[in-house]
Amino acid sequence: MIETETILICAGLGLFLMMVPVIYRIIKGPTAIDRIVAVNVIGTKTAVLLIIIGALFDNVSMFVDFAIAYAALNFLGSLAASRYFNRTRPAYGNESTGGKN
Amino acid sequence: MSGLIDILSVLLILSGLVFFLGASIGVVRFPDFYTRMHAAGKGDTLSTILIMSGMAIQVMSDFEGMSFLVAIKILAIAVLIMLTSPTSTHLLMKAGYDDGIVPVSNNKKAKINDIGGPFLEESVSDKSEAKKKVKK
Repeated sequence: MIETETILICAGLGLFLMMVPVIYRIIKGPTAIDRIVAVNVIGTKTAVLLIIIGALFDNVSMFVDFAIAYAALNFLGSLAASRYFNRTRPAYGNESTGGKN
Repeated sequence: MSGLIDILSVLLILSGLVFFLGASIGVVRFPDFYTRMHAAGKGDTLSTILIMSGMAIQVMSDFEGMSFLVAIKILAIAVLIMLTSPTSTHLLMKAGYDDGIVPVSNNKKAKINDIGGPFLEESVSDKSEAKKKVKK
């Protein structure tokens, strides 16, 4: 019978390995909002990974607070970025294929 | 791993991992800004709820006084992400739409006005009507 701890370690490793290809979208992404979305995805995965790490170390009551703070900060960051790119900056950098209407 | 509770929590965690895999593959592989947004928003929300409920069941299985509070906190994270992830996806997509990011289509030279649909056309015509009213 497989122990639960082994499954948790495998789940954490899987979560970490799923973060790696998203970094491609952060580097490559054609628009700035693409990069923000990729960072948002990684942030959500990190909040889940913190809970799994806490369960592995038998100290969930401490790591839960970290995860709450991380999720809230993630939301605030994407909100602020959306407001910023909505008002002041075009989403594309130098080459603007869309442009303002 | 023994008992129904452990098996249930492990099943929830593994199904959440499947949806996370779908989200990250979608963010990397989809051809378009809007489709990438769709993959990120939906996959993140569902898989976070699944994994968090699995971990809450895992923590609750100790049956202590403190673990009940921790399980409630974990479910609170799930509810928080369930509320905030669609909101931030909607706001970021609206920002991109207002900036005129063109959705993928066969017409390579299209601007956002050609593909944008009735919603944008209405808003543009409203603006032009407003300008006419100002001129009058």
